[in-house]
Amino acid sequence: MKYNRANQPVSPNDFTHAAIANNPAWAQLLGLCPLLAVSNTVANATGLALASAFVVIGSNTSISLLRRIIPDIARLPCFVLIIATFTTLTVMLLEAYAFDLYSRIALFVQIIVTNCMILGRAEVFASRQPVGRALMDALGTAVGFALALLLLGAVREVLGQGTLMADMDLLFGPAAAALQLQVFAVPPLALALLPPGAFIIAGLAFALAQSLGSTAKATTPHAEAQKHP
Amino acid sequence: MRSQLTTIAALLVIGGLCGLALTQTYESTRQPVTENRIRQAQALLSELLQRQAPVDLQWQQGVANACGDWQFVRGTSPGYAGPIAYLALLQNQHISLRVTRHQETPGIADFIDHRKDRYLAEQDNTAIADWAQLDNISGATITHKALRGMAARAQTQLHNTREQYPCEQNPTQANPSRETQSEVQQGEPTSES
Repeated sequence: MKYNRANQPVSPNDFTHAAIANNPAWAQLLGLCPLLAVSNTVANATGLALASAFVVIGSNTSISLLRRIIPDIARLPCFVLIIATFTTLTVMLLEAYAFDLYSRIALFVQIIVTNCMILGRAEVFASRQPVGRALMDALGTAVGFALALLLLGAVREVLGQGTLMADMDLLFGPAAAALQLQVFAVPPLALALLPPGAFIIAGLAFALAQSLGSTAKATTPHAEAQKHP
Repeated sequence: MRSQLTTIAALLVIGGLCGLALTQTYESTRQPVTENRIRQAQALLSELLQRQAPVDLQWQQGVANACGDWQFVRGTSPGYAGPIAYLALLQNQHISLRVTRHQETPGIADFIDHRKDRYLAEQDNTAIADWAQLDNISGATITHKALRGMAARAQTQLHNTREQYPCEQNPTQANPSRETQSEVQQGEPTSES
């Protein structure tokens, strides 16, 4: 059965499908450049997750709203224009209201515009569905991407830096500095902060997610029925 | 013909909506963005000077306080992947230097980014004569060559400014500057290196 059928009512399945089963990171392997580059700490990962969420929710909703007037022949330039607009808005808002964080992740916020995850959802889903479903799909995609970012960020920060949730004050103000936990006095694996460490940990995490997904599929009643008709 | 006009009208509507959103956000964020840039520039100047830098510095051709005990000089030096912008403090024939913008290779040229590496901070207050003799960094020959050349460039720039605006005539403020404090930073480092 094809999943993306038009004219279906808004359903929580849109959210869970986009966030878990069709997760942009571990199921589709999209948006890996910012994912691997910025997931070295939870604070950076949270910043990028919020920025990506703003862009994917804004662009998905706008594209769905405008889907009847977007010319088919020029749909990709229109999608890119809308995504670029939301990315630029994010950059302006970050530079104005979270300047320290912006200084650290600016480059990776700017390249959200080329993130295949966002363009993919626009082309495959938002441009063919009503606003409600497009919004649910965007929320699911944003949550799924944030899950992957935060998971990687937490593991890499603990192993490579020995802390958890350091520098959260850059995002949420001085009071958030108290959230920092010192897990290890000496970081056990400094490699985790470097690009090779990001690839290794992401690979292991995605393999684990795939394995859990396969196990869950195998134990569903439907699968059991297929095994034992 | 009609479908072409429809397409053009649709594109104009979409482009107009995007432009409207951008201009409105730009207007509403301009003030805090400018304040943030000035704050960051001021923090960098104070870090180099190791005390609170004056907030009313007058810049002439990229040089501030040209006739004082110390001078700030900002300029660019050609690097491996384009110009490297720097800010230098010259004081008693010694130099402290920070790179404010560059596009050098991430990872390899991390040492010139003071936010990621203490290399430049460790060279603070180096004699200008010794700056050109800094040990090369393996793998980043061109970047390091650009770094070593910055002291000479800063001195030349200071010399030219003093020639054009002699200190005897106008001790500290030869001409009112049109350069603003926020331009010190010349934008954040564009590379995450």
